Amino acid sequence: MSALRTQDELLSVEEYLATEERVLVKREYLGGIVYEMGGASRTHDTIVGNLRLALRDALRGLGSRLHGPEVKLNYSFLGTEYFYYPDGMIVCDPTDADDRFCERPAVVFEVISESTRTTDEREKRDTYHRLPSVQAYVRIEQHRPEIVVEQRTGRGWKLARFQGVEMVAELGYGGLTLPLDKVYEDIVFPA
Amino acid sequence: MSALAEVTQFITVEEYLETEELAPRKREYLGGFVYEMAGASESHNRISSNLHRLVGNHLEAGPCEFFGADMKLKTQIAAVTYFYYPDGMVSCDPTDQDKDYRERPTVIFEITSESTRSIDEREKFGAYRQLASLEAYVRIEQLAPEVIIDRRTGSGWQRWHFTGLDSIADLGVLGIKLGLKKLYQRVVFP
Repeated sequence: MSALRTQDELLSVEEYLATEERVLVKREYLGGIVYEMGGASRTHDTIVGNLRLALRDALRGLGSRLHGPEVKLNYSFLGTEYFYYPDGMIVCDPTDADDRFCERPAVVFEVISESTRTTDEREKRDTYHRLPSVQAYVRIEQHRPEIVVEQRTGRGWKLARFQGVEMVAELGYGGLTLPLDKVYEDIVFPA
Repeated sequence: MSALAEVTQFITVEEYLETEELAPRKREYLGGFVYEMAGASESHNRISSNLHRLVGNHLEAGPCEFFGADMKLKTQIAAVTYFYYPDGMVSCDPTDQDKDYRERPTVIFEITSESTRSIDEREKFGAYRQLASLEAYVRIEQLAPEVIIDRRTGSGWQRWHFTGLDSIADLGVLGIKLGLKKLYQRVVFP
């Protein structure tokens, strides 16, 4: 058939949350439309695991938790609902207690791969900056030791780039730091 | 090697508009951050000039005007300012007349390639749907004859796909109908 006209079903938030529990591939939700996410590389998974370990003790001291890439972030913007799966979120607000998703993270992490770079650097950056609870947005490169921290200040966002495994990235929140040798432990970089 | 560069990349709207006139490459502006745009392919250029001709001719006698990829769209969402360069816009509001940009387009077009897909599908639709003036957002696939139209309805948005060269994509606004055969004239599909 050479001419085809079809219409997409839009999903309500309730339909999305109900079906999302059963689907095989995670989907992000942007105002009624869902987008499947790609699978993660072993490097990506290792970095996420390292991040958890590197922050565990310090977060305990702060009374906060780090959630990993299986937990959704929900926000609503001018009547449009969104659900993302950030690679990491530090959540401190005790009233942010819905078991299905977070709404007010203090720090958001993304581990960058080439297929998500544009989204992480433009759309998600813009979104995370707009969330009033977010104090820092941290992007972790996958194929070289580099972490970019964007920290909220009174006059906008301050950007700091940490390059090299001997660096220690300051997250700009609760005095948290991330030594790059811990984040990239067991990772072999391409020559 | 260790290096810590501490940069604040923030620029104001005034700085952006001033420097944009001299910049060697077009840059989009999202709340203080600028992003350079990549150059366009042969197919992109062909679709773009077909689109210009088809929509331009259709609108010739009326009050609405078509703009191509060098006109900026300015939008403000909750105190954050954005400038985009859509691949095409139809502007009908006689009060929307700044020399550098349009703010209230009726239709926006994007010609989608692999490198801009996530931006066009996700980020830009998110931004464009907040424009109260917008009636239709039209995405034209570059590598296959397919046009996807998001139309504003009373209760939200509806998404339509038009596939195949014999399709006629009805924008549902201003009587604009795009025959895919003409829209993709001279385009060679992989």
